[in-house]
Amino acid sequence: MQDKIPASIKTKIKALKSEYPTIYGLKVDGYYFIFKPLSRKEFKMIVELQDYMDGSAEDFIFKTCVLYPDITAKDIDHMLAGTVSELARIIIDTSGFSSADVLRNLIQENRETMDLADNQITAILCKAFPQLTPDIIDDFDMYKITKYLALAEQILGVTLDIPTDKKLQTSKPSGGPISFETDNKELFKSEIGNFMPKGDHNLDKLRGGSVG
Amino acid sequence: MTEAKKELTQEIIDGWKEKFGDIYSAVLTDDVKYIYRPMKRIEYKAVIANPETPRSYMEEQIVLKCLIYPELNATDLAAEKAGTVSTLTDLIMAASNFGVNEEPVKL
Repeated sequence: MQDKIPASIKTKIKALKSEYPTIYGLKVDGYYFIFKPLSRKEFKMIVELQDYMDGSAEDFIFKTCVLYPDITAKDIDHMLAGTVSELARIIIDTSGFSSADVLRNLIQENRETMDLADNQITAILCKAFPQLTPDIIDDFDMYKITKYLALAEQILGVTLDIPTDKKLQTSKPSGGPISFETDNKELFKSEIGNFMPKGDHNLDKLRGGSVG
Repeated sequence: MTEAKKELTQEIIDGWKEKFGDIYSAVLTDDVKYIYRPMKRIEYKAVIANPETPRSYMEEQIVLKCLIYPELNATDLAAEKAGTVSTLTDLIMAASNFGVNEEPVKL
């Protein structure tokens, strides 16, 4: 998959990315395959039913997760034996359920992105508006996001300090900006590194001070 | 061997290519040339259908299905050197895309 990807495959990738949040590509024996990881529900189903699947668990994984090319059950029978088995193995590996190391790495990768302003905004919006999920927020445009962010700051009594590009290059304090363990507003204010708690937000406004 | 060893000609090889698609050759000890083809998924599933089947029997089934030349039957295989069937199985498995080392790329 490292070499030049043909335009037709790129078009397919673009279309699939709009439908599936996470997709992977792999070139096996000159053929391009695009697949999605197993969902937790799919993985649990395979674990529970594999004794009854009569050796077809690999076929099930392949059919469930390979998004491109479009392959029928009949096609699978006439593919090279290893293609299906190896892709099924790779799909399980990338899905992260089978190995503690893979799971740990995925969690760590995602934790590292929590310092990004984008993820901090999502966390604040979820905290202030419990009915919102990250997936719903991903559908917002930036105008709606910033409007909700301003409302969230009012509700939570905090202000998100969006770091400048220069600030981003400096080292960040360890630990996340939000503690979800408590709803205590006062504790929330005093413990958050990247948030700048205000004594009285409305009073600052009246005095003509900086609001952001 | 089930029949007299055929003289390999390009015509015969081309015929096999037409029939089987990709075919491979390997020379093991004693300069014996083996020609084999990759295994299809449906054939592999038939071989592994019974998890109780001994590995040595599965290897024989794979070689019997995929070895094109020389033409050997189960009795012939039993008379081969001990490692021949296992080595041929490994080669057939590799030709069948087992052991993919390529890492998937997140798109």
